Amino acid sequence: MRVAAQIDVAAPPELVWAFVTDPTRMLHFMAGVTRWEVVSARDRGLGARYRTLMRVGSAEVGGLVETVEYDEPWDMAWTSVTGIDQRGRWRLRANGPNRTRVELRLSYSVPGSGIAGWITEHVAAPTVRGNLRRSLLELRRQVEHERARARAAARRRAAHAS
Amino acid sequence: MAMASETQFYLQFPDEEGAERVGAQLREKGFDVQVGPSPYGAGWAAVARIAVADDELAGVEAGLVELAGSAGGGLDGYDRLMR
Repeated sequence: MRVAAQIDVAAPPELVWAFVTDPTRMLHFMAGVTRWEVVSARDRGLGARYRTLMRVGSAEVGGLVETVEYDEPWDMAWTSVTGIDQRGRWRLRANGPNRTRVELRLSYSVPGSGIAGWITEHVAAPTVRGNLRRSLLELRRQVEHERARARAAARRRAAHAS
Repeated sequence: MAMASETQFYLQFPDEEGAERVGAQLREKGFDVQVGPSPYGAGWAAVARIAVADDELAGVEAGLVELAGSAGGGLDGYDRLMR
């Protein structure tokens, strides 16, 4: 099953990138994600590993994932090493001055193929889809709030300097 | 031929009249549309659902931007379920 969601954020790609690649922020905007723990020497970048859990209904699914693509500030992708088979990708593209088109893609398959796995995947799909949309809305809120805060701070500094 | 994926487009409008008018136009084009007060703040929202192939997505998106713009609104992203 593959799910994708897209939204525009009123901020430059570099600021959005700072949020989506910071493992300490992940739980603050990723809906349904209950664990995103660094388990590698480096906390981000190619080869960084995270132990993850996502709540889907009453169950929590996840496992160990590794960053397999890290093209700053445009693309970051991860894939599962153990646990549920999953791949994810953040795709950022400039969409005008100080505006970024953000896409989050997630694909997953439930262990144990056959009809039971197929049913489980399809039952989970609307929840995962809703989580992606909520994650992007919350990411946008936080990024745009941070941008407004930084701009206000810059204005205050300029006022003090003059 | 690319397989069509169920896609939900999220449209935002400043008022109910615009949201309902665009919603009616989209229904005529085959979209399944729900209109209601925006859950994200002021204004009204329409969620328009239709199956779209990957190579048709940009064209559908551009059409929705134009249509929503005619009522003072805009497209606020989408999500897709690819089986």
